[in-house]
Amino acid sequence: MSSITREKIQADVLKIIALLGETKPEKLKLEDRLREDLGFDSLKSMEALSRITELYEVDPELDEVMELKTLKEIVDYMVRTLIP
Amino acid sequence: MNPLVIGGTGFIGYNIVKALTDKGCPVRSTRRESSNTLFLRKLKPELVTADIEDTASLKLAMKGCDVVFMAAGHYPRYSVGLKNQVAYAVRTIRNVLEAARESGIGRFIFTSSVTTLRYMGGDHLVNEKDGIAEPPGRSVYFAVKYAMEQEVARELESGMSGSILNVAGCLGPGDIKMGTGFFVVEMANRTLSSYIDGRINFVDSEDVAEAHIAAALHPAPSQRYIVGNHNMTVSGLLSMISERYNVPMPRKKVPLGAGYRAALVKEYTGYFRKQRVSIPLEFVDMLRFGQHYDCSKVRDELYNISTPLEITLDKSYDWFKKFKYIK
Repeated sequence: MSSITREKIQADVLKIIALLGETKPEKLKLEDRLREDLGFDSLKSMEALSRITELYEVDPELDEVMELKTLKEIVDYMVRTLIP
Repeated sequence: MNPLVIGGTGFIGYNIVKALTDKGCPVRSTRRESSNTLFLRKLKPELVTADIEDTASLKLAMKGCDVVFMAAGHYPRYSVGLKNQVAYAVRTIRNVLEAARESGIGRFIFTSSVTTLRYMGGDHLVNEKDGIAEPPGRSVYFAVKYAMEQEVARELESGMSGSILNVAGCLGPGDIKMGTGFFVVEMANRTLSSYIDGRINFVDSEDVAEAHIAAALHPAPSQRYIVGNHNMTVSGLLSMISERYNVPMPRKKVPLGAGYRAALVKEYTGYFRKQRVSIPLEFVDMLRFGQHYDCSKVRDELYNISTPLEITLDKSYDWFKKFKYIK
């Protein structure tokens, strides 16, 4: 776990979101909101959060992750959980 | 029992995994690579990646299991391309049945829908003896469910031990993709401006799971059970939600014909734009050909389904509220 960095998490989050949103990671901005800016519905948003948390073997508090709206909030949540 | 739940990431499958886990039974559940496992992972089943398109993956998943709960199956996203969708559904359910046969599965419990039951019309309470029939209407969902159920019925008649559970409108915790729970969420969020009325039957998702487990444990279950509870109408349900959670009724009641035409347009628009359809055609067909059911057989032989609708609604409401579906 010591090799996990914020940059690595951010790159993985952008990669997964880009894959599901059928776009390129470099076209995404951290301020982008899943629903309003990227057009994700609730199911696609959950699929994204599921993939991201599975990748890092994180068992998230569900009511907490359901609150995450922007890519930055997702990255921050993962960093908070993985990097003490 | 060493069960495998196929479709544990879905509504009914999730409830089966939860009920088995609550009883202290070790559970294995399939998931696809792309599945949303956020909720299922919380129950800590053994998760295996398998796909109904891949018989070898299914055989691996079934290794060491004696019971299969088949709560998955092809769910057509749009009511478009009936012939291809039915062919795909038949091919994939055959994969599952072949894997179960070759793995020596002792009990196969198949989750089907009341939409496959023969449309009788009138006030007749449909029961298991009425059987299934070519579905009316144009819903691809109906046709797919019917075709899959025929395949399973053939297998059971050829000697495989198991049951088909024809489940009614399911409400309760775990409605991840917001199926029947749509009524609760849209009403609570005050976003349901109109509705189509019709006959419908509702059942608690936890009762449905218990009925599945009872079918797996029964020494000699019948081939078919109608798993339902409350015979009512959509307007009756909406009135109950309105009073219970102090939210207004939708302003407009749309006649069936107009609702059907609107749903057809939404299906094709959604299909071409690759968007989720807000009112799927199968839902309108469920109301066009809505029936009431005699659910005594499941109570007599498997499980005493008796949860009051008020309790089911509260469980459903609380779950959707907790996970932010209800704002």
